[in-house]
Amino acid sequence: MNRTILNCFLILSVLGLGSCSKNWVDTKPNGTASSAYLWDNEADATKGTAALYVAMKDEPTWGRNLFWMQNASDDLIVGRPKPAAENIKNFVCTGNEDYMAGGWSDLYSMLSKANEAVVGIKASTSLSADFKNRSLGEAYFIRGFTHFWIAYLWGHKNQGVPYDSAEDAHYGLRIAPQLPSVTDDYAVIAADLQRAADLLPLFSTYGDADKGRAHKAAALGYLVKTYAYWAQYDPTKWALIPDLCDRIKNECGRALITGTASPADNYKAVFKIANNWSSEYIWSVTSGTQGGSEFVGVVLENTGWGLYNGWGYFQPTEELYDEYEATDPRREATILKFGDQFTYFGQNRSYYSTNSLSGFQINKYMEPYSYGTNGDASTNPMINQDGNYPTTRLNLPLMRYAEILLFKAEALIQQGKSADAAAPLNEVRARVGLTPIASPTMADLKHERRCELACEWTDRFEDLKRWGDVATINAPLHGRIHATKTDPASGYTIQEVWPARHFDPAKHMAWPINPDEISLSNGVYKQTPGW
Amino acid sequence: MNRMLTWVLLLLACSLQALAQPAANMATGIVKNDKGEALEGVTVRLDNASNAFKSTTTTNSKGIFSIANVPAGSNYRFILSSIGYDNDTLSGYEMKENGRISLSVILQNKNSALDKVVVIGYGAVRKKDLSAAVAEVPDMDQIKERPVLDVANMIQGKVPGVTVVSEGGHPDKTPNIVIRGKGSQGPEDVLFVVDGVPNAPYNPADVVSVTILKDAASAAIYGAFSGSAGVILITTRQAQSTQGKPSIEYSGFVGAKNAWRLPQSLTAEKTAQVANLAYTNAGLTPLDGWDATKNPYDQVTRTDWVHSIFRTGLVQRHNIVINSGTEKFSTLFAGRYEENQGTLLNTYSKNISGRFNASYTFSPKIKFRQDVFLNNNDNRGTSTESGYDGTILSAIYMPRSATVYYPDGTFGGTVPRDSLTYAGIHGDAVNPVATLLRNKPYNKSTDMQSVSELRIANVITGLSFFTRFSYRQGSSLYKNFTPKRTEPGKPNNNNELDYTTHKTHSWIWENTANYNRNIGRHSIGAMASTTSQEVADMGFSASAKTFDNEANWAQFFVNAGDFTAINPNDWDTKDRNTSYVGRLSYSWADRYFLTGSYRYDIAGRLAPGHRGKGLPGATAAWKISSEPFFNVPVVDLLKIRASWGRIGNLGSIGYYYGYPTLTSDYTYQVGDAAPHTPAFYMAQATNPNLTWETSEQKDLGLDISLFKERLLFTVDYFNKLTYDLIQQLPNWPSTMGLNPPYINQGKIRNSGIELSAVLKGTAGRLAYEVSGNIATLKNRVEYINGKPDGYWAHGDSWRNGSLTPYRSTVGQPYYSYWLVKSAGIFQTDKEAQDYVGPNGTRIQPNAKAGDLKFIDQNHDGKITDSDRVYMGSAAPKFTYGFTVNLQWHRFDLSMFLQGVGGVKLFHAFKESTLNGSEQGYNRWDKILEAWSPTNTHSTIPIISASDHNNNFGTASDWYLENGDYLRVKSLVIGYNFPQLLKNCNLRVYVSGDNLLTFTHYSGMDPEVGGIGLDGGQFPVSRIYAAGVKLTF
Repeated sequence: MNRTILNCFLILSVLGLGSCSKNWVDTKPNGTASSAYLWDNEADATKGTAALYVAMKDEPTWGRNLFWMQNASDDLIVGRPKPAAENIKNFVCTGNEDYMAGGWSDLYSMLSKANEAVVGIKASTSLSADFKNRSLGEAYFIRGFTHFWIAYLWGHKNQGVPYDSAEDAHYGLRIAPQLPSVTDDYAVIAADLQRAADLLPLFSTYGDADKGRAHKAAALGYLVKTYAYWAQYDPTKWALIPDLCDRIKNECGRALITGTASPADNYKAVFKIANNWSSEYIWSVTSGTQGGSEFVGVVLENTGWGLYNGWGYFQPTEELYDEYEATDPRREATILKFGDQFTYFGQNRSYYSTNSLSGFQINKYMEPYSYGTNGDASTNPMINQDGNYPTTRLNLPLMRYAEILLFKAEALIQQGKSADAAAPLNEVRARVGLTPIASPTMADLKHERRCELACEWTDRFEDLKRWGDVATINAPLHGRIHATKTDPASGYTIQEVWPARHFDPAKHMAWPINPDEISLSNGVYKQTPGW
Repeated sequence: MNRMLTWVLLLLACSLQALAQPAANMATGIVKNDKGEALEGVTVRLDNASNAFKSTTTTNSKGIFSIANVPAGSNYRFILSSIGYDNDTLSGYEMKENGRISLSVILQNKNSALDKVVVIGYGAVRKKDLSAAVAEVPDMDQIKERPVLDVANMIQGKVPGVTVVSEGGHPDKTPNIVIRGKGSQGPEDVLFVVDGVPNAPYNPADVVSVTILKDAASAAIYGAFSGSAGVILITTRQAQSTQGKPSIEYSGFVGAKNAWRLPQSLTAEKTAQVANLAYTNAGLTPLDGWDATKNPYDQVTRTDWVHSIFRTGLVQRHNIVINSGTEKFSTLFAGRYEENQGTLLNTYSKNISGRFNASYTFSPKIKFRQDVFLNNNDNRGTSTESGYDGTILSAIYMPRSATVYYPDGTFGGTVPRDSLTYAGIHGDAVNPVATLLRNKPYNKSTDMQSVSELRIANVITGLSFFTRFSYRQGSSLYKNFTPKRTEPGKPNNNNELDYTTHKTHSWIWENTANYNRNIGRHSIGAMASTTSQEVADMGFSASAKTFDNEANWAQFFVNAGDFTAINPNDWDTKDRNTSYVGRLSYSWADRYFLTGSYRYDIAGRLAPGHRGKGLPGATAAWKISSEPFFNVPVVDLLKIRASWGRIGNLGSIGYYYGYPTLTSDYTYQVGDAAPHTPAFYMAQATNPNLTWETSEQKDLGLDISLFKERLLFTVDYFNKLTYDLIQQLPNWPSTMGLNPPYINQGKIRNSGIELSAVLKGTAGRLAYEVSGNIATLKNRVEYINGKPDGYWAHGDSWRNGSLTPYRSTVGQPYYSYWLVKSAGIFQTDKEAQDYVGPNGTRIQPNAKAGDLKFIDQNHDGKITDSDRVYMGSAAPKFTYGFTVNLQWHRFDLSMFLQGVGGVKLFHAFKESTLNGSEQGYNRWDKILEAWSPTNTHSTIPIISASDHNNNFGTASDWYLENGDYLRVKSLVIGYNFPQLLKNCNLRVYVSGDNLLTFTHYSGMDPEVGGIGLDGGQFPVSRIYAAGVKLTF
């Protein structure tokens, strides 16, 4: 009997060995698709193009961190002690501050997805023509848009930013080289945005499900902005702008919001949830109660007067407040000062702040907090209840039609056509009830641009740099120091809240690159000139 | 012969039965060795002091003895002695009139320390014949009485070259074990092999012996699955024959543990003073909220947060073993309950397990063993790592004016709900008591394992064969409801219910043939084995949000309002591997020992063409003491060993690496109202040529035994090179846009010397055993990318990149600290101004009195990353342990000291708690010792709301501290009662763990674990316990 058992087991063992062949270990993955099939059908390709927009919800991009560099303007101060942020504002940063380095790497990951999408969609043979055109247009738009942000922040006249396009044979096989000049970047960006504009549909063709995708006006809008920034190195680019602006108006149907009860209401309407997709919309970060841009919560009073997790950063300065004409309704719509009335979770409130270092808060994005009842944040259906990610239903505007009008005006002034510039400039002034200016100068344009776009992501600091307004950058900044910070009616004195800075155009025209990136590049990258 | 033995035993059983009546007043018995072989010629002496009876006899060829005409009486004593075996005394026997005494005795080999058989991979070998660096953990009996519940804790400090570091005091985490230094960038978990089965679950109370395969030659037999770190073999208790009479053993202990050396936060009044001082020193107007006249509420101390979160933790284990059987069939049942409460509220780990073990002997040749183990684990932990809301850090951050609870019984926030005027002076601190008590997850997992093993001996002479199939199945269910956090501070008005459930299985089928023959003075061994294994995991997770009612009964999906915020997730993975193993061994005349082994592993996770890897090992030993020319009477054993081998590691590669898949993500950008939209993309570049990471190790060893084994030494030198490291391509800036691919590149070398010594003896009635061990470890990165300045950047950071203190480079330890050196504090503004570079400009332009002075290492006149220098690592450069075991009468004492040296720790806790520029948080009371014009001897920079000089934002050696320590790790004092009842033995003991710690470290406890980044780690605690062991 022993022998029989023995033999059985020996035979079984041999069978066991036989089954352990090389193929036996070859199990196949379940669940996620392999990279080979991404662009094979429209359903999968839709998820592929959705990847283009992934980084738009993140804190390192348009949630907060890219704004630390815009915060270097004279409109805003940091708001709460925050060493890395202060160092950026004071131009004593190194580039490896997480606020800068994180934005850089998030933008490049977005750029990489766009590059992958461009080649993937181009090569796909199974997509319908309309779908393919739109998707390819989205990919070109995101590539140009992302590249634009990297280029204008870190690109220098004598040293562009790293870029390889997926159509280049070197793509993915080498560390993408820095282009010779930021103007080379702008040329590549302009070409991408031009292709996007040619392929993308009008915003008006999108149903609710597709709103937030790239569309023709957005591509043309960023093309305008690219040329405007390029023009500081090559003034011939101004000439390209007015026609593009007109196409945005005529072909794409973009227009200012007007016709409400008052000029003040006209302007306030721009920053209302109901007008997320208004005629003034060009491009924004789609936001909701689950996610989107948290910027709206970032600028709210620190801890939101104990009711919601506001973060209390980016507070306006007295200089900005003083820029407005006395009758300009945009001032109060933009800036909250002590004693100003607003609705907060259903309750009327008079503004005060124990936290603000300037005595002001940005008012533009307060509409989402008006909803709800009894001062209870949890009753507000328009905000994310997660205070760690304080997004709201209000989309964060990155570009709106008013900026297009102002670029058109600026382009015309720069070409010596001041009279022609009056129309677009006064269109902006008229909708807030201000008197027209017959023949606007650059000073008028600067004033208008500052007042209209204050505390938005249009980057006044970049404007000051390209206009060469160094003294403005370096002037000390002021705020209102109230005697009793819990009393909305408290008196105040105007005091310096940010000492004079040392912006040096020879050194600081572009932001420094994270030194870690430079050392990781094995000598391929050089630090931004001047740093 | 075995068959004969069985017949003999059967006959004996029958004959004893038959003889019971006629052979009155007779004492009989059978004597065997530990291999079950009958021992002939054993001297058996029976005596009784009360009636002066004395009789001596010897056993026959069947190991049987008998002594007739024993008068009735109690307290008979048997003394058995035989050459080569330890004497054995059995006392307390009673002879009744016309009765009989029969017993079965197993004599232990004399000199058991060296003759003892040590379990090695796929076999066993006598300790004195070992030719590889294999260490058996000493003092297992004492160790098992310590109030610790896992094997890693048990072996800490016991074996040189095995570095065990606790991951703090978390009850749900076990210490990290590193054998002979870290060589891989990926996980290097050691492989636990339990009774021959890799990764099997077990009950630590059941462990009989623990063997550590330290060198690659011994571990190579487990090839790729030895995880590049080494192998720990665990032998558990098995069913044994009890001559049909069940034995029951209960062992258990109960202990209490307490954290010590806890930090304290500032009182409310001091918090305000420090906040005002910080603003004043920064040139800012102090905030109204810290003005006592405007806001008196925040000036009153109401809570001691640190002591609110800690408690006395209970640790206990109860273990019952029932063993019963005959020579043909025996069973063992072991049941255990254990609970380990953390010293932080509401943290624990509990296990309840049952084990059934049976052994069948069909014939002397054929044996079958079946083992079934079932374990249920329940645990609850807490996170102390976060630089934002770590539990202990939160206890420092919370203002002490706040209360744990509001008057209405809900958890308190930074300020009362109805007094929010000055809420803004506080940061987003979280009530840590709420964090701990709100955390009530159901987190239970069940592990079931079955091992079936058939052994066939002597298929032909010397050839044995076994086949073993082990199947493990696990299931777990996690349910957690996160309620809203509405109190001021860091509110989160979301609530959420999460479920995750897994079903895992793994099976291993091994078939092994062993051949052993002694021909003359030649001893030959051969082993061949095949292993196939599969590991699978299937499961899903689901979540929902927006519950109107948070009551326990309402925490179910049916009450959720939002199912779309978090997508459900599911997975189904399966990984398979096949291995072929062989070993040849040869020895001659007990003098020369040689072995060679080879293992070929095929891993399914790699791309086709790169799956297989052969891993060889070889050892040689020369037992000089067996040479005819060697004649030194005091030396019992003198042996030189050498070994070489390779092991592989795939730990850092996920399953299905050969089939790159898309990463799933999402966006809110597309669609009105920002719906959650799925997105797919390639997140990482792939390298289809990726293959095994390998570690090659050489070992040279010496074993010495002196004075009849009263003094033993073992010395080893090892040199381990890990190469073809699996790592992400290092020169890959983020402009590449996706994550770098894995490549095989880089080398790390570990080398060291290990020494252990044991001294045994008696002094009068005192038996003593003193042992000690010490090991050095030198860890160096040897190759990165061929460039002298190549480095690996390690992203590990404190507070999302605020401080990133780690980097590896050639010639330095892996995971070195890479820091700017500091040189004290500027005492005056002038001193700071005078600190200029070669071009005359200030090196630290923003520095003032009270700020840290940083060394401009590269003399470029500014402080940048180029000034950073490498400053050691958290890995101990040497480790040591020292044990004293004493026995006197029925008392015994065991004391164990353990320590490490050359450890550096990064005390990041200081960044958050001694930093005046972290606005709104309360701080460690040590900040009161900070530099000020009147307190100039401080090492803590000035308190300021502005950190313009980057005192705290610079990854400097200001944070770096010596983490060396010496602990009185364990003390056990026991007493063995004289026989209470017939066959009933009782032992009681008291023990203490971590009784004393000597260290210069300023944090809570130097054993922070991981890479040495301490952000307020859950401290290892002190434990007092008492236990019993009862056998009957």
